[in-house]
Amino acid sequence: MSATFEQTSSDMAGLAPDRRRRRRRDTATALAFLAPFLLLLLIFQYLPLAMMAKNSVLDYSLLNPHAAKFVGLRNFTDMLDYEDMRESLAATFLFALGVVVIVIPLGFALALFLNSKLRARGLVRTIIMLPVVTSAVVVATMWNFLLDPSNGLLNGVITALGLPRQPFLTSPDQALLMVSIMTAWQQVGFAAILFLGGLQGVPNELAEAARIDGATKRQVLWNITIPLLSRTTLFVVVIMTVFSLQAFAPAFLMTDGGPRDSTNLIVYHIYKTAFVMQNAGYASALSLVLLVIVLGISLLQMWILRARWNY
Amino acid sequence: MAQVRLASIGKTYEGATANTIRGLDLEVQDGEFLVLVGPSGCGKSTTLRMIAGLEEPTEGAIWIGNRRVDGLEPRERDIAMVFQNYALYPHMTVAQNMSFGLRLAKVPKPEIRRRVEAAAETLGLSALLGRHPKALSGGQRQRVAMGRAIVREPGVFLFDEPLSNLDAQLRGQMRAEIRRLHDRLSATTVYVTHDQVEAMTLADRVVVLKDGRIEQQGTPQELYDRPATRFVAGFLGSPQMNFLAGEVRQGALDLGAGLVLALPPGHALAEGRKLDVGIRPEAFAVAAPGAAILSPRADLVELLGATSLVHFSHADQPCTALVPPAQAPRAGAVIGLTLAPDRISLFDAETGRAV
Ligand SMILES: Nc1ncnc2c1ncn2[C@@H]1O[C@H](COP(=O)(O)OP(=O)(O)OP(=O)(O)O)[C@@H](O)[C@H]1O
Ligand SMILES: [Mg+2]
Repeated sequence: MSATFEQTSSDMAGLAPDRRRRRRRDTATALAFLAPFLLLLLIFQYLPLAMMAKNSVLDYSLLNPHAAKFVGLRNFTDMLDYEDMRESLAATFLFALGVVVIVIPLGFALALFLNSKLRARGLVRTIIMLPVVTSAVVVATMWNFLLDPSNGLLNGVITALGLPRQPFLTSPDQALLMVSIMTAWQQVGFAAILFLGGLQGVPNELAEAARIDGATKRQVLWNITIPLLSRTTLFVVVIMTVFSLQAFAPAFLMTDGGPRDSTNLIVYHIYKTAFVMQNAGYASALSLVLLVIVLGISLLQMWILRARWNY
Repeated sequence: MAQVRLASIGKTYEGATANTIRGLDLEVQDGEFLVLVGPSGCGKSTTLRMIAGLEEPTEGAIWIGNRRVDGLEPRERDIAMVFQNYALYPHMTVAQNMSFGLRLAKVPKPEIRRRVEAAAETLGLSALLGRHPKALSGGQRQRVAMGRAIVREPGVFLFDEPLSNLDAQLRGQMRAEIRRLHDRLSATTVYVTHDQVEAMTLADRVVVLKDGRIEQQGTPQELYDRPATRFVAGFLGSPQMNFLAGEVRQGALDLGAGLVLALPPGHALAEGRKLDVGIRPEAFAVAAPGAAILSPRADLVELLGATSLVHFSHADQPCTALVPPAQAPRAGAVIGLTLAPDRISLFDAETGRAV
């Protein structure tokens, strides 16, 4: 990286004027091509971000924007003084943990299955990718039907087996788990595709060498395949965590954050703070904190990947 | 230690139209160094992988020692294998790579240490035990792959073109090293290569495969001196044997363009029979103008240092002679050559079999 950079800059120094002019023209062309996208990025990403940063130090309501008033860091000290952010983050991380814990082994198992010499491979691949590309709203609505305490399909099955009816989304003990399971179900195909990519990068010869060294299929899996997929696994964990931290639809469409705030996911909490409680300043501050958390996770991932497992 | 026996082995890959191996019978003696050679795609790797248990034969039986092993897992066969691309475990150090099999077999730790250190010593890897494969050169990786096989102390060693990724000099070194190791361990070895120099130098016995069948087997010298077919003759020896079209005329061998040789001793051949006449490049000798039996014009002269290769054509067929550099002509000059009748091989022009 640095070597190529040095090379380019030394090239630049030695360039004849007309070649330098051509290079400048190339840069202008590149910028022209990028401009529409950069403009969109600016308008829809960075401008709102800057506004959010500004709002985070205001006491500000969307109903009466003109009454906004500067409050310094009070929105942030409020987060420490009140329980809402801590509780919401705790629920969100628990939710993310649930998703990750379900998605990783299942996604990996599915990938192994897809990587084997399977006849119906294409079909299975389509089946598991379908939930991924289906709108979260559709998925949430569908699971609402499934999990309905009185008429739901799942309770139908459970009672048919002679077991007691379950409250699912209406129980503070079960709602978060159910929402995690639903999200995991939706995302497992994506994880499987990522794992499949990783698996296909592991040379077949390594498994063969290990089998000759005396490994059973299971030992090959534990000693060769899984360690070699460390990078992929970390990547999937991070993607799933970040995705879960940003989940909104399940809380919005299925539980309203309840019962008793047990599924009050942070993005939904931010939404409620801004639009229901009309406290956009505090919501902005919360968003900023979430941004920092997600950024931190991504940086951690990059740092780990730079230091480890680059065979 | 063990002998290996393949009995009427056949192999057809799933979805393939033709069978890769057909009716292969092969016996490797205890402690023998057997080299499988043949052109690309003739089924060498397939044969080796069937012995290893990575492929199952479609028919026939395989014995290692006095156990029938076809159908058994590789780990039940008491074999070790060195792959062409080494197949080192990238996430393990050299020491871990070498000890992996022993750890799986639950060999006591001190014993593992002893064996790994001994093998590392032999292969000159002692200083590299803590490194990962990424940080090794090709030659070092090759040694680690060998070390991984050695520490297991298996009954049979299998090699699939282990040196083909090395440069010529390193290949020569490793060749010598492999032979030395074999002399010391005297383990039964099956070694696949398409490099005929490796075959000649390493083998106790060479098996030449062609289209999934054994074309000929024997010691390297036997195969070199008495090739059973034109194919084997052309395959072994470098530079390659020359082949000239010939015909039996009046009890002598007419090679066209005025070159007539006496039939080699012991050959009584029907008049008019068409033959392929095999002449090794070193069978030619430079002769004084009066004594020469052919005097071609040298098209190209390659100086190899110790010897020179003179390329010429005879009756429109390319031909090469190996001569001492002092006697090599310039390109374009005429050179006088003789040829001893007992140094030629005769093959039927139709079947390619030696006559
Ligand atoms: N997994 C497979 N499925 C189908 N055909 C295969 C498979 N592996 C090998 N073959 C075919 O079997 C034949 C023999 O292959 P093999 O790998 O044994 O050749 P080889 O003698 O080792 O050649 P090389 O010197 O190029 O390594 C080839 O025609 C090859 O295309
Ligand atoms: Mg091969």
